[in-house]
Parts: sequence; structure tokens; C-alpha cells
Amino acid sequence: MELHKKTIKEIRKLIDTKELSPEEVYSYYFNRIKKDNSKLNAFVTVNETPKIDTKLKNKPLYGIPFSMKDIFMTEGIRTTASSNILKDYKASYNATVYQKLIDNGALLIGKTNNDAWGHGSTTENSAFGPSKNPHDPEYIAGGSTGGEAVALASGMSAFGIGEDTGGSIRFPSSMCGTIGLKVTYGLVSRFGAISYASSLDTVGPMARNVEDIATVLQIIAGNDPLDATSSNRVVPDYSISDDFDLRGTRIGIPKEYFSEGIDNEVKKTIEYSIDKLRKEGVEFIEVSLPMTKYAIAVYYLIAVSETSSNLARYDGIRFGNDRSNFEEESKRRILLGTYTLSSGYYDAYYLKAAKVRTLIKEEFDTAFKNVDALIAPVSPTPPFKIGEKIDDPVKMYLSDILTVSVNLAGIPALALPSGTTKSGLPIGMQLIGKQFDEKTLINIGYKYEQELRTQNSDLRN
Amino acid sequence: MSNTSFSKITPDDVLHLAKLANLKITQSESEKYATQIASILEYVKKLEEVDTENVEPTAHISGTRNVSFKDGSIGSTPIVKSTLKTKKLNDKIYFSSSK
Repeated sequence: MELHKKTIKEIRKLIDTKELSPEEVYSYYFNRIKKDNSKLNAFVTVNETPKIDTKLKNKPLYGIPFSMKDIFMTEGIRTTASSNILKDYKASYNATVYQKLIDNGALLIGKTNNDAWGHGSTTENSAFGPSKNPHDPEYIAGGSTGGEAVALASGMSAFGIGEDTGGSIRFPSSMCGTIGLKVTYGLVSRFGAISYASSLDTVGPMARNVEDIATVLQIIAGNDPLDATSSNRVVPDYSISDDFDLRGTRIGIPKEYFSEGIDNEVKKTIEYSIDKLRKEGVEFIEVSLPMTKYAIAVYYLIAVSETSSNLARYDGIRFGNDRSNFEEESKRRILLGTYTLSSGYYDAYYLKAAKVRTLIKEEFDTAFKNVDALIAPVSPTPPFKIGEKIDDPVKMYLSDILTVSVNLAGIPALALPSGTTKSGLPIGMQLIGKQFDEKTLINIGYKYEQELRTQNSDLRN
Repeated sequence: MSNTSFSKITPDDVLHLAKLANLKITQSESEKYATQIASILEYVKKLEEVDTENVEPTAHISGTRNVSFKDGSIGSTPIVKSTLKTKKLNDKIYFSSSK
């Protein structure tokens, strides 16, 4: 039985009817990790012995093995941020997102590789080496939550948790042909997640199908008194609505996301997806987001400033190794952030960026007056080769050009497969929504997946 | 401040920044970082084109305001207690550090 092609609810049913025990489910995924991980480098730490608590047998995730980007605190299991600073660090408490999942019966099978501290788009900045794209190991898996996307694409775990500051869930999902949701800022608690850039960081689910995204989001969303930035709105019901109809749905096509610098094959693939949705009755409207061209500059100024401040705590005194262990890209970002926050430069850089951020947010607000969602590619190019951009930071940062605006505006976006290149590498698209309107994205994404996804965009076996 | 200093950053500036950030870097690293940081600063210069007069900066994006703990809601949490068990502690209160 190909368990990894089933949804969480289907696996849950097999456990309920005693067709499979949680131990059998766990060893299915564990064996897949044993088989492929040495080749693909998805996991930093693998958990061999699950703690199965039969008291949780009625919980929605009972017996479901999952993995997490290695930036979430897990008591007794090391949390490295994929950096040498924390390579032996064991947290003494649990991140809220992890606590919620294990309280619902889910079993942590391992923690996955990422660019150290979330600093990167390819996992090449990990202290543990790059994760490899399962569709072709010479190619990047994307980042920073790259190991997680690899684990899901190759069926080593049933679902995942990532963290998206500038595209870190969506970009690897696009590179590996999996699904990832960047949530509204504040929807999911960040407590116990290692901070990269606090005003942008979001925690979200990753999966192989849209229904699982909804299932997991339902559990992890909601206010947490331990995270003062988490929203106290009532969490809606995210389950797929049978009566949701694509007819009458209005989706905007932001022309700046399809313009210069976007690879032709990417453009054509997304346009093909748009055509298919149009045939199902979706109304498409061209919209313009002219501030898009400033997004990378705003994002990198805010992100490096905030990360230089956040990473100041790693002094090697209370925990972890000393600062000489920072990876090269992290040193670069700390130095730049120290510069942009310096007296005399703060106004020109951080403050200026924070003001342009306001304009970016307002531009999205205006666009959403006329549409329910926006559609765009996730990445301007298909996956590129490992090593290709590592020596040119500006070129590398431009990989994030289509993802960072969403973080700056605090809005949600669902990344899902659109198609593949001629050589079979995945191309992803994103549905971008209004703040706290994940439900619409999930419903459009689900319909798209059920009715429209082509055979060749299906995941690796 | 004057914007003429944009993108002019020397290896000595980088060494100074490294000192402020408590990072040890070598002379050759400072040269590499100076070039890379200069190219990033050159790139972000485009923000000068945007008119931000009378625009408020955004720090918190999704509208949560005046968040405070309710009295007694957190207290001495298990998290505080478990954190104090960290390996590098030499007794209940103090951290030990290398000399």
C-alpha cells in the first residue's frame, strides 16, 4: 500500500479500523527515510522511537507521523536551526505548534534541514549541507524550509511544519512539487520558533494535498498567550466546503508577476493553469501592483535588520556555541543589519523600508477590493543547479522576488504545483489572499487539485 | 543623513561592524563582505525613488494592539523552570561561561 499517497484522514481511518497500527504507519515512513535520506539529505535528526499514547486515540492526528523544519523547540530532541551554533542544543520546552500537534496524537518522525536560521533560498547555507531535489538531485530543493519539502515530495513524512519569512515555505514547495501555506501574520503562534525576522515570520503547514493543509491548519491556528503577536480572532472552520463553486470566483492576475525576468516556461505553465481555471468558471481580472519592484529591497532591509538583532542572543554563554560558528550567509546578514540599524543609517534604511512596506500593504488592500484572490508564479525560474548562485548574494536574493511582498503585507498564500518543465522539474503557483482568508485559498486550491491538476504535475512516486 | 554614503563601504567599515556585532572576521573576509554589502546597498538604493512623505512605517502588520498578559495568567511557568535546567547552569540562578 502506498501510504504516502493517502490523505491524513484516509490514514487515520486505516488506524481507526485497525487495518494498520500507528507503529506500522510509523515504520512505513521510517523505512522510506532510511531508504532515501542519505541520498537527499532531508533530515537533520530522525526520531526512531515514537511515543505512542493510546489515550489520544480519538484525536484527529492520532498515529500520523510528521516532520518539522528544525527551528521549532522540541523538548529532549535537538533543535539546531541547521547552524553549528546550535548543533548540540536540546530545548527545554516545546514550541506551541509542536505541543498542539502532539496533543492531537501526531508523532514527530524527524526534524528537517534548512538554511541556517532561515537565511537562504536553497538550503545551501545549512551547516549540514544542502538538501537535494528529489526530481533531480543535482538541483536545489529550495529554501529555507527545503528539507521539509524534500521529505514530503519523497513520502518520508505525512505532513510538515515550515516557517515562511520571505518565501521559505512556498519556494521549496514550488521547487519540489509539494503544497505549502504561508499563513496570515499572527494566525499561528510563533512561540518556540527560532526567530529570523520577527515582523515577517509565520508558521504554516506543508503537505502533499490541499485537504491535509486544511486538517493541520485547523489544529495549529489560533491565539497563544505566549505569543503577543498572535491574533485573538476566532479560528474559522477550514474544512473543505462541498458547496464551494469556482463559478463566480474572481481572481486577479498581477501583471508585474508575469513581466520581465520571469522564465518563459514558468509563465506558460501558470497561464495554462489559469486557462483551466477559467474554463471552470473563474473570472480573471488583470490587476497592477507597481510597488512589487521595491519588495526585495524592502524585504532585505527589514529582514537583515531584525535578524541582526534577533541573533545577538546567541553569545554562547547560556546555551549553544560561540559566534565564530555562524555560517557565512548569516555573518553577511548580521553585518548588513548592524549597518542598517546604525545611528545615522536607521532612517535611510530600516525606517524607509518600513514606510515603503506600508505602501505595499495598501496596494494589496486596493487590489483585494475587486478580487477574492490573486494568482502568480512562486519563483521566477524553475529549480536551478546547486552551486549556481551561491557566490552572488544579490542574484540569489532575487529568487524571492515573487514571494516577499506577501510577507511584507502579512497576507496568506497557498503554493501548489502548476506543472513541470520539459525536463520534468516542478513549477509552482501561488494563490494569494486577504488577511485571515486562508479558507478561500484552501477551497480554490482544493478544487484546482481535484479537478484540474494534470497527470504530469503529479508528485514523484 | 546624506545619501551619498550609500554603497560606499570599505573593508575597515566591515571590520568595525564585525566588532559591533561581536563577530570575528579576517581581513580577507572583510574585503569580500565589503564588496558584497556594497552591491546589496547599491541595489536597495532604488527605494530613494519612492515618495514616503506622510507615510507611517509598518511594524506590526495584522492589527493586534495593546497586548498584555492577564495578571497571574503566566506566572512561574513550567517553561521558566525547565529553562533553568539548561546544561550550562552551575546552580539554580547563575550561568557558567567560559573564561
